[in-house]
Amino acid sequence: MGLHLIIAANSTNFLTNTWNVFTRYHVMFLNAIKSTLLVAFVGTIVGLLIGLIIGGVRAVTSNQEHNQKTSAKIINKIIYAITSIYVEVFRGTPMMVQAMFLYYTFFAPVFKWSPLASAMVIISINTGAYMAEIMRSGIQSVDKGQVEGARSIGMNNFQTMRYIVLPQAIKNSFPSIGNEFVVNIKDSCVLNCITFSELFFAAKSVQGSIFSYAEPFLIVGILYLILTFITSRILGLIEKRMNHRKSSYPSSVTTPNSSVMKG
Amino acid sequence: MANIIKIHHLHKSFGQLEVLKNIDFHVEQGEVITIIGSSGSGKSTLLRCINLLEMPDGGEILYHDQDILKNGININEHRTHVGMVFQSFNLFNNKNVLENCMIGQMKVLKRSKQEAEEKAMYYLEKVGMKEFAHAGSMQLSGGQKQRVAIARALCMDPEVLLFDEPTSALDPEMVGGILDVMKQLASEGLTMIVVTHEMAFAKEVSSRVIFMDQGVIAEEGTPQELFEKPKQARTKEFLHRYRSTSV
Ligand SMILES: Nc1ncnc2c1ncn2[C@@H]1O[C@H](COP(=O)(O)OP(=O)(O)OP(=O)(O)O)[C@@H](O)[C@H]1O
Ligand SMILES: [Mg+2]
Repeated sequence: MGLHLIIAANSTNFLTNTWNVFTRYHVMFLNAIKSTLLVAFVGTIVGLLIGLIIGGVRAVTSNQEHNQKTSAKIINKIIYAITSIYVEVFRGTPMMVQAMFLYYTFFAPVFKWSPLASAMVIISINTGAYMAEIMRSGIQSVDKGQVEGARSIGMNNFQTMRYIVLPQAIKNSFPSIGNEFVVNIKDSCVLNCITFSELFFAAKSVQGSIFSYAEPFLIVGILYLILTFITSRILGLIEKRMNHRKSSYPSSVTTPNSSVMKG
Repeated sequence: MANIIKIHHLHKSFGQLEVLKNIDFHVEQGEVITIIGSSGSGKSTLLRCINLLEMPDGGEILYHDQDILKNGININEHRTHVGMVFQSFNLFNNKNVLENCMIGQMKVLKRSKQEAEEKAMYYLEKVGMKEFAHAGSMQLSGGQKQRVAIARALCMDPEVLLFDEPTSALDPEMVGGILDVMKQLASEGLTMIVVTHEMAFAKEVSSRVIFMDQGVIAEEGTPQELFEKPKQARTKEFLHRYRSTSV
């Protein structure tokens, strides 16, 4: 019984402490939320753009058409290989390692970039590699008939991609794209290693001033959870909206018969 | 009458499989050619070669006496002159009916939005789909999709329209309507090449019928010649087999 009381007393104590820590350092935490959301958002959008381009290029260069010239085939293979290196390297190594290497060898000493600018670039390049694979499979999931329909009315490769294939590929892979955003909110925490002050960095600073781990990390844990929860809900709503696109399908009109055809 | 399309010694292989073996034929302005033949005989491949969805390995395809297989020919422009209607419709899923008919006009032919819309509505009315202009293309029945696909092709003002089994994916009650649309187009003088299993349609509408077998044109003639008095044994066999299996 006595033990229970002590635990109960301790935990109320602990929660009060945590709340006090939060109110004391709330400006720091709120600024950190902004930084986290900013890099996660920029990283996802720029990563998506990179993914659209690289994924599109990979989808085009990966299927060897039998009617291609040999020179075109070789060029395709080279482009595919180069993009493969990018995708494999950035998906196959931890973002923390990428951040440490790029920031301390190039971004800070050579380009004189701030931690914020460097963080945005690193998370964008990293997300781009994932998005490239998401878009490649999204593009390949679009029915081949869509491409043939577009080519049959004279659209070139670029127009077919731009107006027919990519819109469908983005729609098909929207859940994966949105998931990258949620992942970025969480994984941007590794960017604390280049002194970028996002949520994790804030928790570490607070921990350094109050000499206690529990309160600050509980606080950022809850903050991360709130951010990812809200983000997932919003993405879910957008996805629903995309699948129920407005249409003015006339319910009163039945299947037309050929008698309408009196041109 | 002028030859629009002349095909000489056309060859096409997929790997080891020789699908088209030395095909020769020509199409005159306003003709309706139907191509019949058993599955795998190369009908689709031949049709797809004519608007270069497949690249032939050898031979010539002359369009208005110009070889479209030569380097420097604008393939995309050629496809606006020689349109295609597919068995599987291939409407753009991300576009509504009207947009399906406008996008090619605007992006390929660089027509203004207004002009494209007028033309699209004209052809949608012609195929009986005007009321569905703003419906999503995924919501339509097969027959409706094929009507829209025909309108989409017509919007490019093609000189020749290729049809690859346009009614094969349709419920039986939808077939007649599509064939009526095609008959109407034929009667208006559109040049058409139609791969079909609809023998009654072939008999009624064709100027000439081509029977393909194992990658060659086995026999060619007017519908009367081919259906009433086929010369080749394999034509007879195909028609016989066809009559006994179809209702
Ligand atoms: N892209 C391709 N790659 C490999 N083989 C192919 C390809 N397209 C067609 N073939 C083969 O070529 C042959 C002819 O095909 P094609 O589609 O032209 O026949 P078809 O006469 O249209 O038959 P169906 O009546 O079944 O449509 C078939 O054996 C087919 O398997
Ligand atoms: Mg076929």
